[in-house]
Formats: sequence, C-alpha cells, structure tokens
Amino acid sequence: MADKDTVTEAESARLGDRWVDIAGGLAFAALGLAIVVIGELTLREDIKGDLLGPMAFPRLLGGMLCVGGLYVAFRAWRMSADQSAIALDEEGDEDEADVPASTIRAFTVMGLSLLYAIVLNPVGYLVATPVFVAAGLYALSVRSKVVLIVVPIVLTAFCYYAFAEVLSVPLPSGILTVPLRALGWAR
Amino acid sequence: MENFFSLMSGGGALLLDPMIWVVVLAGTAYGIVAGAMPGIGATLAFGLILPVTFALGPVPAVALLLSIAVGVSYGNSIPAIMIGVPGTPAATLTVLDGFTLHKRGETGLAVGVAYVSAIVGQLISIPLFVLALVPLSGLAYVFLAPELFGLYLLGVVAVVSLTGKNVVKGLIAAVLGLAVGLVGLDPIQFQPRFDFGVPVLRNGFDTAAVIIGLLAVSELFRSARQVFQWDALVDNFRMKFPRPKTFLPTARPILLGTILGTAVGAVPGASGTAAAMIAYQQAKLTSKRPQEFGKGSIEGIAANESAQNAANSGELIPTLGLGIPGSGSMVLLLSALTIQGLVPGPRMVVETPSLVEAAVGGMLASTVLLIITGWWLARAMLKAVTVNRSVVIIVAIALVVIGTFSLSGRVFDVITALVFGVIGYYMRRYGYSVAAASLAVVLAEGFEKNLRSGLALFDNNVWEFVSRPMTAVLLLLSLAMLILGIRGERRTRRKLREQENEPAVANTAK
Repeated sequence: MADKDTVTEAESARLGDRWVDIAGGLAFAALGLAIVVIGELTLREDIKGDLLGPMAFPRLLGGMLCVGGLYVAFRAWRMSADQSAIALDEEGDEDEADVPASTIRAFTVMGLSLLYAIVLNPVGYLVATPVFVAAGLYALSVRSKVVLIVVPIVLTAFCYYAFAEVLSVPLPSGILTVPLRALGWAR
Repeated sequence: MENFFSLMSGGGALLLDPMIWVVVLAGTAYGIVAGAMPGIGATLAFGLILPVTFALGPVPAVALLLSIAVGVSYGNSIPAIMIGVPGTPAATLTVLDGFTLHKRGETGLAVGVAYVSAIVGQLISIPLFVLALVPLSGLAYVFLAPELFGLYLLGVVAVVSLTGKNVVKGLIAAVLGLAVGLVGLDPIQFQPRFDFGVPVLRNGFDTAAVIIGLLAVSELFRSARQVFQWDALVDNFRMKFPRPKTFLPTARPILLGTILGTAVGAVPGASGTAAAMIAYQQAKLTSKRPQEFGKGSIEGIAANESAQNAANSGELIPTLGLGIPGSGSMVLLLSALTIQGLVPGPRMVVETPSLVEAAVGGMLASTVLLIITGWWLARAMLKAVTVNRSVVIIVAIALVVIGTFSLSGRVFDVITALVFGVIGYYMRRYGYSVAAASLAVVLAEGFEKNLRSGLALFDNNVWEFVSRPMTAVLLLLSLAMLILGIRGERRTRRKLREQENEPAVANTAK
C-alpha cells in the first residue's frame, strides 16, 4: 500500500502551480494598490459638476484588483495546505494529455519574440525576420536543415510582398538601408 | 418587416460585387484551413488577419471576417471525423459520433452529414439573425448613456459568469481589462492618467494590439509549451457521398440545432461551443434513437454541426445590434470596425446598415462557396492537419509581429501585443478569462464615459440614473447573472469534492 504522505509527481506539479497562483494573486493585489496610490498622487481632484471625476475609476478598479487578488492568493494558499484539495480540477487551460510540456520552451519563444520586436527597426525586417523564424523553429525542436532554411526565407519573401508591395506598408530596412537605397528599393 | 427585406436584399446585392467574391473566397479558404488545424480556431485566425482588414473598407472587412468564421465552423469537423481531434472545441461532440463512423468505414456518411448540416444551419440562421436585429435597431435612440452603461456592464458580467471555472478570477480579468483603459486621457475631462510622462502612452495602449496579444499571442505562447504532431493519426480511407434519403433522419436535429445555435450564440460569452453542446443534448433527449448518440449517430453530428454554424449568425446579434461582442472572435471584429472609425453600440446598425448587409452578403457568399467546394475540400483539408505544428506556431507569431507593426508603424504596439501575450499566457494557465479581459478592454472607454456623462445628464442624481426602466432591468440582470455564476461555480466545486470523497468513503466501509 502506498504511503499516504507520499506526493506523486502530478500532485507535486500541482503544488508548484498553486504557489504560482498565490504569486499571481499577490501581483494583481499589488497592481491594484499601485493604481490607487499613483492615482491619488498624480490625478487632480474632482472638478465641480463631475460627480465621480478622474479618480473614481482608478480607486474602484484598483480596490477591486487589490481585494480580488488577495482573495485568490488566500484561497490558493489554503488549498496548498489541504492535500485533498489538490485533486480539484485545474482552473486553467490544460495541456495536451501524454505530451511533455515545458514552461522554459514557452519562455524561450516569448523571449525570442520580444527580441525580434526590439531589433526590428534597428536591424531591419529582411534580417530580423528570417533569423527569428529559424531561431524559433529551433527552439521548438525542429532540426531539419531544409525546414530551418526554406521556411524563414519563404515567409520573409511572402510577407514582404504581401505587406510592402500589396498593402503598401513600409517595412523597416535597418542595416540594409544604404544598399537598398542604392538599389532604389527603399527611400 | 420592411427593414428586414431591405437588409436581406442589400446583402444579396453584394453578391453582384466581384471584389466581395475575391475577399470571401480568400476568407473561406483561409477559415477552412484554420478550422482544420487543431489549436488555431476562429479567434486566432481573426487575430492573424486583422491587420489586413485595415487596408480594406468596413464592408469587405466584415465580409472577410465572417467568411473566415463560416470556413472555420465547417473546417473544424474534418479532423474531428477523420482523426478524432476537434479542429476547435465546438466540434468536440462531432468526434464522438463522426470518428466512430470513420472507424467503421463510413467516413463519407459522417462528412456528408456534417457538410449538409453546416450549410443548412448557416443558410437558415442568416434571416433569423436579421429578424432579431431589426427590433434591436429600433431601441437605438432609446439607449442613452445610462442604458449603454447598463448594457456594457451586462456584457462584461455575462462573459465573466459563463466562461471559466472561477467567477472571482473572471471578475479580476474583467477589471484588469477595464484598468488597461485607464491609461491615457480621461474620457470626460481629458486629464492625462497613468502615462508617466511618456508621450507614446498619452493616448493609451492601442486597443487592437492589446486584444491581439490577449487572445491570439497568448494562445501561441501556450501552444509552444508542447512539441507534437497530429500526422501520426491520419490513415487511409474511402469517402463516398451518401444517398439523399440517408439525410431524412437529420432534418429534425438540423432544424433544432439551427434555432438553438442562433439563440444560444446570441448570449455574450456562450459562443458556438455552448450552442453545439446544448443542441446535441436536446437532440438526444428528443430523438427516437437516443442510445445511438455517442456511438455513430448522424442525428448527433447534424445537431452539433448545424448549431455551431448557426452560432456564427447568433453571435452577430449582440455584436452588431448592441455593440457587445458575443465571443473572442467578435471582440476582434468590433476592434476592426472601431479602427475603421465606427463606434460600437446600438446606433451602429441604424447609422451604418451596410455593416449588416456586409455580414449577410459575406455569410451567404461563403455558404455558396461551401456548397460548391466543401465536399471536395474535406479530404484535401486533412493535409492541413499534417503541417508541422512548430512551423505553424512560429510563422503565426511572425505574422502577428509584422501585422501589428503594419497597423501604425510603431514597434511599441508590437511590444504591447507581445507583453499582453505573456500576461494572457499566464491568465490562460491559471484560469483567468482572457475573453472577459479583452471584452472589457474594448468597452473600457465607453463604460466610464457613459457612467460619468450619464450622471451629469441627470444632475448627478444617482437614483434618477439607476431607476430609468431599461437601466434598472439591465443592472438587475447583471446582478442576477453574477449570482447565478457564483452559485453554479459553488455547485460544481461541491460535486467535485463529493466525487473525490467517494472512494475514501467506500474504502472506509470495506
């Protein structure tokens, strides 16, 4: 018979999730408090004739976030202390069954996406896009050299045509500005 | 009645415009492919194509988006039947009966019933949607600021109560969405709020960027957690169109599904998934052969498919009639119209009836295209399932970045979309409703503006504000919906605890 104090891998993962849930609740509470405090410090007082004024909604929404966040954190903390409550249904979107899930992989894709956005203007669309796509595919375990080379090139070319030529959206040329201007392809 | 015929004929007249057919052809094909790829769905499909709509006028934009919705609602049944994986959650119950028929070698029967049910459900729901919309447009000039505030509150509460398993988390999500609207200029006095002196925040966050982040990018980031492919599930099969008399038993469930789909789809937050499930349940209760449901019943497929397709029209009723988006994809539709300069609300249809005509024309044209090509496309669309999932995710993220950049040429908006994508990722993982948050973002400015200007209209007399008949009804409905949502959640948790305790009680008895 299994020891009743033994926590399975799944239950351990759920415990970890509960602590993230607590942190999230506290983060929302902190955000709510920040909204109220910053509103009090920076906004002008109510002007005559406007019953609520500019400070009413920050106070109301900040207060609701603060109270709601604390409630969520408290409830999640109580559940983590109660082993039988661990078995309750997860509230969030579930991962696909029987397939390993990696938070680090998701964070890597997030990081690459943010980096792509930041370098888009200085580096340029024609350089940043194929590099991002190749790096993103590699992060998602694509190892085929054909896919890693062909997909970034085809996508970059297709989107350039669709956005720059068809929709007339100017895409940043970045480090290629001078050579593209010399070719007459950029202003 | 005159309005009904003028709107229907206006929509039909759009079919004479070749540009509409070009747009609808592209939208339907894109929608079927998106629907056939598990994990994509209408909301993400809308999010990826949203920047393109800004280059179109409002009429082709609406026609494009709705043809995508029609395509998705048909496309999602293809993997549901052929590999047992629904393209979107609305096709979940089609898996039960459709995949069973496929395993028995009756793929043609399952796909044929899904094809006919989708077409009939879509065709009948279009006039139903216009019929429901006409009386709503009559209320346009009755809705002053207090009524609009009540309406927006009802919309937000409805989504909070009906989506997600935790009402408190749903409320937090909605409040977060409203709080995003605090950044920028105060809507009445134009005092800068929470911009921290940063010029780019002077007018607040770009609504489209925030919504694309919350609804589309968050799902892509969530999908990046796992690496797997669907193609291992694809097998060889034959497909022959059934004989006409095979469809006779599906007539009743198709009609039932269409009416229920339109009605349930009209409830904000309910959407095609809830409509399909309710229709399936009702069809089973009223069937002469209920024992077949879940084991290869064509009545089950018919009810599910007709309902989720009819819900496309149902969702338009609150979206275009009241300015309250009925689902995540409708939030993006309204966002597209807002960027085009249209103001969401009951007056939008009265002042711009061409939007309703565009909706009618887009859905009609898309359905006609489905009639011609839907059956032949079914097998071909299965190829969409075999596309490398990792490629789809990264390509979609790249398209979102470029598309969002194309809205205003500002990298700040792209970063906004990605940051809200990260926030949405966390919200999805831990049970906060991204639908409620994104709906609240769209309604935020109107929410505060209507409350404050409404009070000013009645000399700051709160009782006069809340006691207006329509406002009072809307506020009471909001409260009732919130209470029902909380009670429903408590009942669900109590049942879960009872199920958890049952094995312990049984062991103790032994």
